[in-house]
Formats: sequence, structure tokens, C-alpha cells
Amino acid sequence: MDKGKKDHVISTLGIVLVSFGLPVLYLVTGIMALLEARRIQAKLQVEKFFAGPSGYMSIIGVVLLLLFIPEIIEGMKKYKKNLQKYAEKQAISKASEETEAEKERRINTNRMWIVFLMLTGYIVIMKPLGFFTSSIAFLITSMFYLGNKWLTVLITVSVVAVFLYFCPNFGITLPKGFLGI
Amino acid sequence: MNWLLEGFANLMNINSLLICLGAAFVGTMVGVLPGLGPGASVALLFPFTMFMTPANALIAVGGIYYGAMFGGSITSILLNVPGEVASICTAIDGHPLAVQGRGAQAIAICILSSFFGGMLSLASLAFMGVAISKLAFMFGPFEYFALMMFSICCAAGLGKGSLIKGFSSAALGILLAMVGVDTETAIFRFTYGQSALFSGIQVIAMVVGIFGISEVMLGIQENAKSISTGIKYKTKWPSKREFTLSIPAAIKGALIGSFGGMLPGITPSSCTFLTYSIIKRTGKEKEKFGKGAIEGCAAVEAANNAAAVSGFIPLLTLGVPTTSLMAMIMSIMMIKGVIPGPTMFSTNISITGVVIAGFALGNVICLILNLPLAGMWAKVAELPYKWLAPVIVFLCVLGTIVINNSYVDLWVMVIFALIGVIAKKTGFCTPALIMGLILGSKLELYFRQCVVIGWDQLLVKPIALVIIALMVVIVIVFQRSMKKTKED
Repeated sequence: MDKGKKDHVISTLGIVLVSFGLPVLYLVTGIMALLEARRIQAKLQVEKFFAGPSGYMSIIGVVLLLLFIPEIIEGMKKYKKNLQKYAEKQAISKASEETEAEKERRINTNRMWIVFLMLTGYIVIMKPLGFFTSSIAFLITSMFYLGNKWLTVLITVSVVAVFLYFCPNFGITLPKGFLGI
Repeated sequence: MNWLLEGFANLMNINSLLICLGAAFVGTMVGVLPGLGPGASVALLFPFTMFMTPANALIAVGGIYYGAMFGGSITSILLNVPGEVASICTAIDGHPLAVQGRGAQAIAICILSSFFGGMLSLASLAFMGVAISKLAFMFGPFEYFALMMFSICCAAGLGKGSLIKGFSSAALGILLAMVGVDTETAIFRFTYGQSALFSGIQVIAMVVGIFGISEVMLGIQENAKSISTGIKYKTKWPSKREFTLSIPAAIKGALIGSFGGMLPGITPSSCTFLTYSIIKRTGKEKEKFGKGAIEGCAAVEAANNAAAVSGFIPLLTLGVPTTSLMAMIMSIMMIKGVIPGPTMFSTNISITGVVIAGFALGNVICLILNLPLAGMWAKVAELPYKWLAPVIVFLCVLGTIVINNSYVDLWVMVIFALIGVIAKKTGFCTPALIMGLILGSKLELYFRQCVVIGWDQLLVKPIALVIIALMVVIVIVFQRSMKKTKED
């Protein structure tokens, strides 16, 4: 897929998510609440439905489903508006180059998501490697990625390593990995 | 008032004093950092309170909270960078004063006004607390149910754009509060056989994700930078005229903040905006507003700190949090086994005494820390965000893992951080979500009790009816103001 088409798909997906993400979330959670309430009621057979563990739950489920209606209407309006805005932006960007501010914004947004991915990776590797090793790895990669100088990274990582080494002395236990640290 | 004196006596131990000092210091430090407000600072340090006694934990959180409030004003004046929303009004008049070479005087006035506002609110907490808690003993399930619904409605109004979004977020929060074991019937709800969900969703992990990590991520996206204006700082006392102008303004601000902070949904930042608009109309040097009016700084800072402290009045007396930050503090209390409510001024009065004494001491410490060290705090604000961001994320992860050593908590943190980031783009109301999650289980308990007693009994509960009427009024007011904002 060429870059222009890829950007178009990503932007359209973003618009769909921003416009319909929340209503869909309310719809799904509302249905989940009603199904769970039904399961619990079938299991417990509570005499006073609303005094039991499922009554209040079903009310919240119904509320979420009711709130879904105005949200989806608003979402549709938002979708049309955002698509129009996107089309206008596309027309302008075809005529002229991306402005400096737009470029910076795009770079920073990408930077945010990459740091977010690093955070996710940090948690994934924590189980096998332990808190100490994964934290040091996260700090080194994210600090270098955000443009810190090597001396700053070295000092920060050293301070954190000393702090983590003495953590058990303060009664703080942290997960250890296969290396035993 | 013996309980208060005992509180001061109990506070005089090395542990509590160090916590007071440390919390005020850390709170101020986090408060001056760009992109981190009081919510983020409390969230960041929230998990570390788990190792403290209930009173010390509350003192620490209180210290962090108003330390952040104090800190915000310094950067607003010297760097024109409000550390948090409540300091925006301080920057309007404070920074022009700094540019004119009167930054030191403005900071001194701000810190003294903050101190005055905080102390006035603490006095009202100590004196009114007992009376309000006596009233609260008349409360039953209907009154509490109405009061909690009122709180949730107010939190829903904090969202941007639409009240429906606020209510939906609150409903989602209430639903999340149901995950885990139902305490009355011991049945598992929304666990789907996953043992990790049996104990429910960890509030701390959620709060750290929404207020800590997501703020850092948004800071990276906005490319938050420290801004050095090159203004040099040297401690100088304000002139007699500046004092004369500031005293009545600070009194007005403190009174507005003390009263406003008690009301559900009214955050310290809204109190500062209200105070600023009033003082702009009633001030003695009206022409100077926006160009460097010392009255503006004094009034706004007094209101800010007064509102921050008076938010504890409904929390400690009625057990009702007025803002999402108070809801976070409420959850700390509940985790510590202290149930906020009227018992705080009866069976638990010894804890309340220590807490109020701790807050008073914390205010004094903030005064001592800020007045001579303002220049140093301004330097802290110049720390580069590219260094701060990874360190804060690391501290958030550390804070979350130390509670239960659970990876599930970390994933909860990540998911809610993502929700926090998306919330900014979609208008999802995070304060209402937090309020729903924290009040959800209590709301359900009172709802079920009301069902058992019979809803017809509501008609003979005048207090509950008044609260419901107020709730309807506030919903209408919110709806109208949101509609007006949209039209504008």
C-alpha cells in the first residue's frame, strides 16, 4: 500500500473511532450488564429483583443503552463533520506543503504512541526479566528515544539502579525475573 | 476542641513531622513541573501512602495536594506557566508583575494569601465539621443515596460539551465498581472465571493510569517544554500599600473559596475564576487588572487554597467527595479502613484531630518552603520534559506494582492510561468515571437498602427530597451552561 493510501486509511479509521468509539462502548457494556444480570438472577432466584445483586446492575445496563441513543446520533453528526474537515484539509494539503506546526504535531503524536508502546513492552518483559532489568531497559530506551544526552541517561539510570537495589531495605518487594534480580 | 489539641500533640512525632515536610516538599515540586497538576501529583504518590498509618496517609495526600497548589503559583508568576488550571488566573496578573520587576513581591503576597485561605478553611473544617457531622447522623439510606447521586451529577457536569457524556462515563464507572465479589451474596460478577478479577478493579492502578500516565503522554504529544523567561528572582517584601490592597482581596477570596470548595462539583479552579471575576469588578485598582494587579493575585491564591482545603469538609463530615481528587482521597481512606462520614467527628475524632493538625502544619511548611525558595522552584520548572516523562512513567509503574505485586494492576493502569488519552479527544468525562467507580459500591448498597425499606418512604424524608430537588436544579444549570458554551 502506498503512503498516501495508508495515511487515508489511518485517518478514516481515526475519525470512525473518535465518532463511534464511545457509543459502541456504551452499547457493548450495556448489553454485557443485562446479560450478566440475567445470569445472576437465573442462578440466585432472588425474590425482590432490585434488592439483589442483579437488579441494580440491570438498571445501569438499561441506562447505558438509553444513553447510547443520543450518543450515536451525536457520533453520526461528528462523523460527517470530521469527514468534511478531513476532505477540506486534504484539498488544502494537496495544494500546499504541510506546515511546520502540523509536521511537529504529527511527529509528537507519533512520539507519544511510541512511548506508549515502550510502556506496554516494559510491562510485557517485566514478568520474565524482573522489575529491575525491565525498568533499566525502559529508562534507557525511552530516554534515548526522547533525545536525552548519554550522560543524563547514565546518571538517571545509575540513581534508579541504586534506589531499586536498596528497595528491599525499605520493605518494598519487587518482582524478580529469571536472572534473580 | 480538646480533640484538636490532642491532634497537635499526637502529630509531634518524628514520623508524622517528616511526612508533613516531605509531602509539602514533593507536592510543591510536582506542582511546579509543567503538565502535572494536583491530580497527577496525588495519583503519582498515591500508592506510596499504602505503607503509612491512616492519619499519616491523609496528612501526606493533603500535603501533596496543597503543596501542588502553592507550587503552581510560583511558575505562573515567574515563568508564565501555570502548573495547574487553578493557577491560570494567578498568571494573568502575576506574570506582568514579574515582568515589571515585582515578581518577588507578587510571590510573597500569593504565598501569604494561600496560607491565609488554607488556614481559614481549616478553621471552618474544625468548627463546622462537628456541627455538620451531627446533622449527618440523621441521614439514612435515602439521604445518602440522594447525596451520592448529587455528587455523581456534579461530576458529570465537569465533562466538556455534553452532560450525557458525563452520565455515561459515571454509569460506566459504576459498572466497573461491580467487578468482583458481591459482598452481600458472595456471587462473582463480571469476572468470567478470571481469578485476577475476583478482587475487583484496583482503584489506585486506574487513577495512576488516568491522571499520571495519560498526562505524561499528552505532555509528550503537546511537546511540553520548560520555558525560561530569564526573570531573576530575589526575595523582597511587599510594600505597605501592596499589603493594604491585598488584605481585603485575600479575605474575599478566602471566603469565596471556603464556601465554594464545599459544594459538590465546584473545583478550586472554578473558585479561582469566580473570585477573579468578582475581584476585577470590586477591586480598588480596577484599571490594573490584566496588567499586574496585586489584588488579583491575592484574591485568586486565597480562593484556590481555601477551596482545596474546604473540599475536605463534605468528605470528612458526610463521606461525600465533591471532586474526583476528593474521590481519590476517599478511596485511600477506605483502603486504610477509615470510613469517611459523620464517625470522623465521633468515634474516629482522634484521626480527624491529627489530620487537621497535620494540614495546618503542612500549610506552615509550605509557607516556609515557598517564601525563601521560590527561586529554586522556578529552576525546577526548567527541567526538560524529555527527561521528566520517562522518570514519571517509571515512578507510576513502581507505585502501581508495589501495592499487590500484581501484573493485572499494571495492565489496568495501561488500559486506563489509554482511556485517559482517548478521553481528551472524545470528550469522555474521566472525573465522572472515577466518581462512579469509587462511589459505585456504596451507591448500590444504599439503593438495595432503599428497595428493602420501600421507595414510598422517600416521600417522608425531607432531607433526601431537598437533595434531589437540588440535584435537578444543578442538572438544569449544567445543561443550560453547556448549551450556552456550545452556542458561543
